[in-house]
Amino acid sequence: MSRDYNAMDEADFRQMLRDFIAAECPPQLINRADRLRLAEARDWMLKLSAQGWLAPSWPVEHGGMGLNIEKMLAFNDEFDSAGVTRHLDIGIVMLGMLLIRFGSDAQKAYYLPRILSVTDIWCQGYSEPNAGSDLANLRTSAVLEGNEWVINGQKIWTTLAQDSTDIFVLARTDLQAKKQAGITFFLARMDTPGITVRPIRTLAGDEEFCEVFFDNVRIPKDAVVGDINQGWTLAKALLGFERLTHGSPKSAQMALNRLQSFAQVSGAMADPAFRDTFSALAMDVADLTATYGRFAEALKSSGALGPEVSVLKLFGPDLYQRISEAMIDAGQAYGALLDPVALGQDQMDPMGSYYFSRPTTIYGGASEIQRNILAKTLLGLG
Amino acid sequence: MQMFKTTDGPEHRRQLRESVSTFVSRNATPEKLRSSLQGQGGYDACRWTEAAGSGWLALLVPEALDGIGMELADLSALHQELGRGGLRDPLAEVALLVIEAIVKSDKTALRDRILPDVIAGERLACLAWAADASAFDATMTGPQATPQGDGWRLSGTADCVAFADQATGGIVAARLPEGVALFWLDHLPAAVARSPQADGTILSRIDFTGVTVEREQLIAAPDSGVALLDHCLSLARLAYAAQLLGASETVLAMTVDYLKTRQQFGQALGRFQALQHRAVDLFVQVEIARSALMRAEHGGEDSLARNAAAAKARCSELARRIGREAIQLHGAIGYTQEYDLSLFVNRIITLSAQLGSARRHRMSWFTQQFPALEAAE
Repeated sequence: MSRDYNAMDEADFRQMLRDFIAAECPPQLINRADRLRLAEARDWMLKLSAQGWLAPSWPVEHGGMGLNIEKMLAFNDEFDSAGVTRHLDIGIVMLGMLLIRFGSDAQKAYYLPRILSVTDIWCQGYSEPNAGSDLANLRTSAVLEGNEWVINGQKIWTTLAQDSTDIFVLARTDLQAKKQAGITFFLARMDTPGITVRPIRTLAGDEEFCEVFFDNVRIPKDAVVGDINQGWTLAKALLGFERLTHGSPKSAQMALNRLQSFAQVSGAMADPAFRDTFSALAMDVADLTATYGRFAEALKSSGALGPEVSVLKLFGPDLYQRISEAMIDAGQAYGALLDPVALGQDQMDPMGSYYFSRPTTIYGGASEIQRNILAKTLLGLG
Repeated sequence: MQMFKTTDGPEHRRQLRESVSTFVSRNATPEKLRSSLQGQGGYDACRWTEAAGSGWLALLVPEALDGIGMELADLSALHQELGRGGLRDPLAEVALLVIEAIVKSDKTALRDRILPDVIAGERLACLAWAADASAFDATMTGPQATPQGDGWRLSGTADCVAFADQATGGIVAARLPEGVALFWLDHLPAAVARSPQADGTILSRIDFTGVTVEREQLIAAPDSGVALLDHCLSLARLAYAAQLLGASETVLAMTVDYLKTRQQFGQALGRFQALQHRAVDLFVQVEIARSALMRAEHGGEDSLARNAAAAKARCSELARRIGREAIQLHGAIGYTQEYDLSLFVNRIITLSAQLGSARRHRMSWFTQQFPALEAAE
């Protein structure tokens, strides 16, 4: 019998999380700007799993914590404030939530426990070389042959595909239908014959993203979520939450903290021109945080977020990038060093912030796409 | 054109907004604003009487003193709506620089004598304090006081006094060795210089040399005057920030409407993505500024100085940016006086210049928010 977390006093709930993080989260997972690989994250994920906390947003009957929106925001806030770096959570926040809403009973019974036990690690097969911001232009195809779907095509920018056991794939099942209409949502094991993964070395020098090739990949007929040709609707159902996550002040706040320490040690903070820059960035972080708070309140009172969530997705990542630029200036002649710079018992990685902030204005709907959405929905332009 | 339309505060605030908005659309049409700029510095006696009659000068005054007893968020709502209409009438100046000082004063006899008339709008009073255009807080008070008999003798000038032309009485702040005192004057000396601003309002310089004041005229003794004056300045900044936000919303709405209607190259300007994206960036800034203002509304008295500085900084920057982008997005018509945009651009620039620039306020917020960084210098 699991606990009713929603009945807990919020202060007690938060204290419980704080105590657990302080006792159990490995220090090397705190305040990282880069993306964790599975080898580093697995133990922490297993600890969360053993605690019953790996899937805070899932209903209790599926092994989640069953948190309501209020407690969910508190949960995120405590993990963010402690600087806990994101683990490989796509199976939980994306696929799991999707299966719970749209999956068959058999799919829920099979996949959800495997995600919770860290047996299956999922990656997201959405983008393609010619379908990035214009995702509906995707061309990976799936054709039904007897009891199997045969998938051909290519995905790209697939986060940590090389660490994943499974992939969910948007593929075209009706070539005649209008762009969004002929797409279906598939599930595939990464070790299926015909799937090849090629990591992409990023500007930061790591291999956060991959290309995934599908060459006559045969998967069972029932490895489909929802109805045939309804995949676009499913994929879109998850976007609101994703944009709120991407607009969270966490990255910008952590970068500002790093910038402050760095500028004090490097001496840049004594320069009035730098202080002027820093004060503007700090004020932007404060006001982003307040704006995020308004969204959280709106989510609590109405249970859903409208297209205005793009405001956060525009402002937050842009701010993170501007802070990363100031980081290089704060380093002065050390601003472009590739290796981390020693900083007391800590260390600073100015180029890391610069690199890791770059994709934030591109993924999850590029900033230009967010502007299109706001122009159309809130300003009535277009 | 605002996020979260459904969660716009409690019912009484919604009603307040509605009545101010109705008042504005009736009494502050562009024609009426223009006519009150002819020789009256933006002031209109009828409009003033009606606004005061609605209790808008007494929003923060406790009910025990015949005020409305509302909160900062209500004050902010009032001034957002006034700003939306581009009003120049001195509701912020009188309510927050004069009435608030009288209300917070412990000199009850003086308070009871003057407060009712000022609240009712029958007596328009102003505050004179600034040494010069660079004055930012009470430490930069211009006039001086020296003890004389049972009272004081004043000397020196106060600059940048708003609405001195219409004022029948007011408060003067004066430096003494032990601090800053605030005095009530039933009559102000005539201005020695008058300078019109972009929005049509007038800044005056007043020379107080030779004026004598009695003990009964004391509003704040030297040991409390600095805190009281700075408190009043913070409240006025919050109100200016709210007006700047309101004016920005009007200007953005005008601009978006223009983009929807103006046809060039065979289509509405709003069909061009380059222009859509510029409009969206302005919309995002409006919402970020609204968050800064809401922080000041809900932060409480302890953080008022810090949060009001942040709100004034943010809203000034927002409004200035929206003003200049609006002119550009309108094209040549935006450069004419005849088009109503001019009324708002001029108001925005004036409010942004008064009571401290955006940059000054940002640094003020910064030193309060990051005291450790200050001490390290």
